[in-house]
Amino acid sequence: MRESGCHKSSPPVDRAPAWRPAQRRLHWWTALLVGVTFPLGWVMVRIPFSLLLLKFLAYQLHKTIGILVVGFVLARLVLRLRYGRPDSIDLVGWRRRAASAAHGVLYVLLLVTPVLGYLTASTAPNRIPTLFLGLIPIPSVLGPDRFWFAVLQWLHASAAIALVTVAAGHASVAVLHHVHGRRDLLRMWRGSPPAC
Amino acid sequence: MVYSLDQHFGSIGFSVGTWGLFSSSGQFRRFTARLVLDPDHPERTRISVTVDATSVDMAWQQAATMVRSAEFFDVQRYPQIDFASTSVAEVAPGRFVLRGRLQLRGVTRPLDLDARLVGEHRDSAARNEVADFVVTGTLRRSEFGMKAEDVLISDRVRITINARIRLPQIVPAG
Repeated sequence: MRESGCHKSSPPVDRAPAWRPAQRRLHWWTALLVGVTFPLGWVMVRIPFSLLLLKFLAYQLHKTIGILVVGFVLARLVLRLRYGRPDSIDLVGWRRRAASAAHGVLYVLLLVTPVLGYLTASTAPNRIPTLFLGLIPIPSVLGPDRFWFAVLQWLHASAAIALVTVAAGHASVAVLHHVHGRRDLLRMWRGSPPAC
Repeated sequence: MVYSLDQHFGSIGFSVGTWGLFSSSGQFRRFTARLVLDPDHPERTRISVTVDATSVDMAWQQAATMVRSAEFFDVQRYPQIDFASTSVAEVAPGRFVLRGRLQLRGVTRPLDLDARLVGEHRDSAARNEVADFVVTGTLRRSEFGMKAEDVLISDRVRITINARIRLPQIVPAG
């Protein structure tokens, strides 16, 4: 594995190309949105009907964030296809394969989870439309169906738990690499890490 | 002559605007209605409808529970909704204006309904004529003390009643 940290005993500083600014911004925005909408999804279903307006707004915010996540992830995939990933942060051996698999699973879950959420809303017996930003109605592809609503609700929740679990693993490994000198967090936050 | 509304073919529904962008609807599963018609004096026609408020239903069970609560129909205190006409006028062929009074949540207010005859045909099984009407009207729920969730749910409530009236049985000649 390549070491490129800011140890006092290792003066060379990694100034190699990092993720592009758009890639980094989209990465952190995606992380923030998922970090907000996961607990929001857990809370919104538990808001009592006596707080109907709050419940409605919480659902619409959750749905809006889901739509934004899909847009951001598609943009990230386009950028990834166009620019690839920086060589400087390549891992080797099983670590490289594990990282690639985790990234692949993350991308899939980041797309599948909101799509399952959208389908859940489409089949919901309440027929409350999905309103992007609380204003723009998103057409429903399916009609109300109690059976599919129950199935999709379970799948959406399961996918969301899987997504947060894999994302937590991804973040833990990034922190671990960071403290072991690879400065991954700085590289993802600012681009190339600064000189020590 | 007194006619009863055929509940098997009838429905009493309501819909409200929600968030100004879509509507939510519900219906009452149980109701009775009477039409008293004097052919010699059509102006004396009277219609009365009694709705079992506890039978209110919506596609979403939790919403149905909510509208039965004290903040909305308050069905525990007011299990019945009544409408009684005070006048019925035919304003065009097959179109009538029903003026009456609606009692909801213990409050009685005037309510005008628009009735349209949408079809007449013979029910061969029952051997009588049936007449189908669509009755519509709008009320402000706040006038009946139903003010909850006024940001999310519109004050104006649209009522739609599909009514089937069985006309007198046809007696074969001879």
